Amino acid sequence: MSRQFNGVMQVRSDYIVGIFGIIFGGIYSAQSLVLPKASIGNPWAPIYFPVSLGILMVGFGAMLLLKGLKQKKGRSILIFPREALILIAGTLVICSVYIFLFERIGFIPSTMIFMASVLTFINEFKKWKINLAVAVSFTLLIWYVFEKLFYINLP
Amino acid sequence: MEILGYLSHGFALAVTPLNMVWLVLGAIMGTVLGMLPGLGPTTGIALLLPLTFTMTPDTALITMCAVYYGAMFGGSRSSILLNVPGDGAAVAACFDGYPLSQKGKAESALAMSAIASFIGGLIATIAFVLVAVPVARFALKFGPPEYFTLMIFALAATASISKEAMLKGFFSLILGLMISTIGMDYQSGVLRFTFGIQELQTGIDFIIVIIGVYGLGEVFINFEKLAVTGPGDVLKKKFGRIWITMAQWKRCWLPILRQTPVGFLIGVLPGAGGTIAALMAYNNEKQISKHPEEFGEGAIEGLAAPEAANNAASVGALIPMMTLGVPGSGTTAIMLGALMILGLQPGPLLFQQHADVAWAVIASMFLGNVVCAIINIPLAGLLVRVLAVPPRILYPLIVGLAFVGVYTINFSTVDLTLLMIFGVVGYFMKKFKIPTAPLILAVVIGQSMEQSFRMSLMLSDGSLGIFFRSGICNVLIVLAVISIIWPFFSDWRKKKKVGTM
Repeated sequence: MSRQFNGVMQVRSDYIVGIFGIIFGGIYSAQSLVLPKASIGNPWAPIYFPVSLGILMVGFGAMLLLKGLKQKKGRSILIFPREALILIAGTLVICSVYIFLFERIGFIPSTMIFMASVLTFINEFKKWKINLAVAVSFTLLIWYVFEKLFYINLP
Repeated sequence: MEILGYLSHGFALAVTPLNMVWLVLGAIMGTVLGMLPGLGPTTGIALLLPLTFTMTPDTALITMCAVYYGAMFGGSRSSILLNVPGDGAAVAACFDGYPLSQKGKAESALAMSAIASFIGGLIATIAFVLVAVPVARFALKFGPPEYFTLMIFALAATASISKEAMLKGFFSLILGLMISTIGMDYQSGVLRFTFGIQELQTGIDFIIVIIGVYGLGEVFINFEKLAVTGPGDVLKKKFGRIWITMAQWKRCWLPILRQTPVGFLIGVLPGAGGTIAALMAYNNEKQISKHPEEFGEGAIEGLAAPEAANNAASVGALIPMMTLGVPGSGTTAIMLGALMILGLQPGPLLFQQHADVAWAVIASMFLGNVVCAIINIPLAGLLVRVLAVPPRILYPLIVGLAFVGVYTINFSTVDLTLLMIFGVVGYFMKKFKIPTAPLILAVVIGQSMEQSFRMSLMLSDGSLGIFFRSGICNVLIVLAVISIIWPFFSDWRKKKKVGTM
């Protein structure tokens, strides 16, 4: 089944990256300045490097913002397709549940549920037999490789 | 003679049954990962990295190198058969490889790409043997200021490789350095940006960043293609004899020999890499050729030259990583990090303190090339069937592998959360066309860079003049400045040339 993409969000690349750089660089610099001082040697030694990075980030962010503002309309426009965003968001939700279950119910059941869920979400429900077969065989193969061949203990 | 002695010792270590098994498996896994569009050597090595944690350093490095070469060999399979490059370096193989395939010469194209890759890789490995020891000996003169300026050069060259994206390259670089500051400062014991999370005290493992950005990020960006991908080309599954004719060989041997040194030198330079080497080799041959009109229509030398250059570049890229301890690309940055995890310090001392490991790896490069050629010529018909795996099944498998791999680093679910975050970061970086290689390089060498900087200042009582006192530092600073200015200068020269015409 082929689904059509609908652009849901259009953004100007350099402009957005520039704004992000300024804000992120600013917050990072401010956080760097309140870091604890070193008790031995120069007290500011652990702070110089991060503060410099924060300032550089603000600088590069400002340059990108200026570049973005100078660009003609229509250039450097990015489109975020709705289906891709849904797939990403859905995958992230399933991953979060997997992280929650991983150490609680163990590797084999949690990974089987996780793989079956991701496959069903991405590869469609009607192909459930293939999805289930892939989920079970992947989980058991990975378990065997890590536990038996590499002696790496999984929960 | 000294080198031959080391090399024969390296061969003795490389041909042990365990190393050979991993070399073959690594080459197969690399070939398969390299041919899958959207993946490639960096993602391949990142995903397979956790497998090497329990290996001895020589076996781990041999496996990673085999994955690397395998991916470089395999990248062109999908270029030739589907017109979709497996990785960036295989893009030039589309130009003439796919037309050859459409003309019913897929067998010749597959064989020629493997033969050219083999010759390119082999010659480059011989060059590596000759160059490695002198470079490593020279690097013994390096102190903290020299290392700091060397890292500055490597980072500046990587960030400024594309003039259009230079600002974003530096943005990526700074972001990577910021990530490397998270955790305990080893000189003062001060905790930085841990926000009370105990797991962050030792910093964010760079493997999580790599697997997140390259593994998950790549999957997320490929989600966009899932719905728009139509039936596309039907994958050819039945092949005749995969080999070349004498006439084809006569057309290709000289281009292969001409472009191998070009690829090797580009590979050694930080920032440049297989893609640039392959494209440059293709353009060089097109300019030299008596029949440039055939290029793009199925000229077999148009396939052979970039393939040789791209493999030579992959060998050349290992020189700065192994001899200086400073990687020049995303892939070698991962390998450098892996070496550090295994308790080895890449750089000049590697050839003194762990000469057995270093030479076993060099010996394995010769063996790896032979193994990759065997895999990619007689077994090509079998391996390309992997391309028939639907992406809707492949991507969930990559996600699963990424999660399990990351968990085995520290056995912590906090790492899995970080993986998700870096997957999203990777997606947005790719979406906003922010180069990811500078970020990875910065994350891997960020901490050593800061330590070199601070140690230099301690040596000079806080004077920045220490970075301008030695000739090596001055040369490296000049190179860093040139690498930033050069793209603008060459652009200005081109404009001037057009203006005068």
